[in-house]
Amino acid sequence: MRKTVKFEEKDNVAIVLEDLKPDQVVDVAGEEIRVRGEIPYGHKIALEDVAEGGIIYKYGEPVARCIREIQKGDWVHVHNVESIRGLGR
Amino acid sequence: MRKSFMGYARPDGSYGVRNYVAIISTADNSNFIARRVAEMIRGTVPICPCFGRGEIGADMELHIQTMGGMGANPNVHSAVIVSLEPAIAEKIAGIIRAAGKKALVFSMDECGGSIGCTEQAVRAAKRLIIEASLEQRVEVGIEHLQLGVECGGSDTTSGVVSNPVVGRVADAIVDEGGTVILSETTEWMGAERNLCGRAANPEVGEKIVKAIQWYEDYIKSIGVDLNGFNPAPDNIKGGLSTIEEKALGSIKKGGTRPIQDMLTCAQKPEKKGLHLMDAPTGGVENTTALAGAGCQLILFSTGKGNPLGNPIVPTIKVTGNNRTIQKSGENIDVDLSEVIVGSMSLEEAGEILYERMIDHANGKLTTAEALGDLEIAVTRIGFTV
Repeated sequence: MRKTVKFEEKDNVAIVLEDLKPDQVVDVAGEEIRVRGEIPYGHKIALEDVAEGGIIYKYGEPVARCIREIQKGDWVHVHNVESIRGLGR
Repeated sequence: MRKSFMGYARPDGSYGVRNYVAIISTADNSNFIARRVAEMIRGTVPICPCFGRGEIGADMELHIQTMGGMGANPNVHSAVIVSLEPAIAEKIAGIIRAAGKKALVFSMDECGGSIGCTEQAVRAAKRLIIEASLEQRVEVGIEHLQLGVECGGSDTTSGVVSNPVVGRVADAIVDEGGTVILSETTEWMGAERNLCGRAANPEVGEKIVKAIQWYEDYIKSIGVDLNGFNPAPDNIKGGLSTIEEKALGSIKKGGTRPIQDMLTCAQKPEKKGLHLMDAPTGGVENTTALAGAGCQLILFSTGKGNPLGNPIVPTIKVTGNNRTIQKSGENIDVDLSEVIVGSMSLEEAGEILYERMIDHANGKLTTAEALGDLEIAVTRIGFTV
């Protein structure tokens, strides 16, 4: 399997299947992306910039809302996104 | 692909992949008797619940249905039921007898306390296990297989490898006329478009939406964010950021076939094909509900690892995570990590998992069975009174 997986064309994140280092360049579905910061095995990399309030798509479906501005190549996880559903607020 | 498995014929027309005499404890207050009996008689297995006393209404009904359903499960030849008092034990026994099997009740109240109850239950268990030993496996078709699919210790690899591969096996079983149950309602949240799109009719679609809404309303009512609880800390460490992301990976283990109906917790399906079951996500609770519904096998997909097993239903651990294989591979039955580190396709992985599942159906022990790491927990709805 490739070291990055983008599931659907609509997705703005891909998963990485190795530990990525800052400034490493990875191939995601034919596009070269420069990694900003460390991204652990199994986590997500941003394929484009996402503004606060923007939606993260994986499997072609909305999976999260951006709570802190994301730049292309950033690690996307609980520090910059949160659930849209299942909030007790 | 083998189109049959070797099973024990049961009086209700089902086929077991194991041949246990179950020693069922009616409630937590009789667990010690069930464990002692099972320790004394080889081949018996104790089924010990966490609660069962002082439950009320729907909780008591669910307790009786789940405990009785495990006794009626095709993997059980017959049952000895131990209890403080006989009334609830007889209700559990009634469900097992309705499946045409022997269910013998011994209560501390009527048998001279815990020592007398243990003595009589041991004698009965000895007679039943010798009777059970006469049973022989016969070859039967996949239409007699009811598979539960479950995931635990999920991470990103679950949605990429192990869940889609389990889903391929689920599709193969449905295509052969068998039955599959996908459960864990909270882990459908955000996946409604996929699930409802496969509902056999609009009523089933409405049931799916309503079941998810119940949990979402409950979360809102207590004012707690689901994140951090589900996904749990190990899921988050494994790369899953939100419940929607986890859910969209989780439902892949149910495959792609039409959803025939929505079952309540531990309810036995009446039709063949893929079913959803409205039951909580905790691994032990969920495998208990699947066992109570009559599943003979559980395919358990994991990312970061989760060693739990069920006392009567072989729970086959499957992972695609190569790091989990390195760290705790001894707890894994089927290693699919070649999909990530090598050139194995999901299709090839599906064929391998299907054949390994048939091996386990035919009698090969799972890791959890060999280790005896076998627990149950009947779901609670409200409080004990």
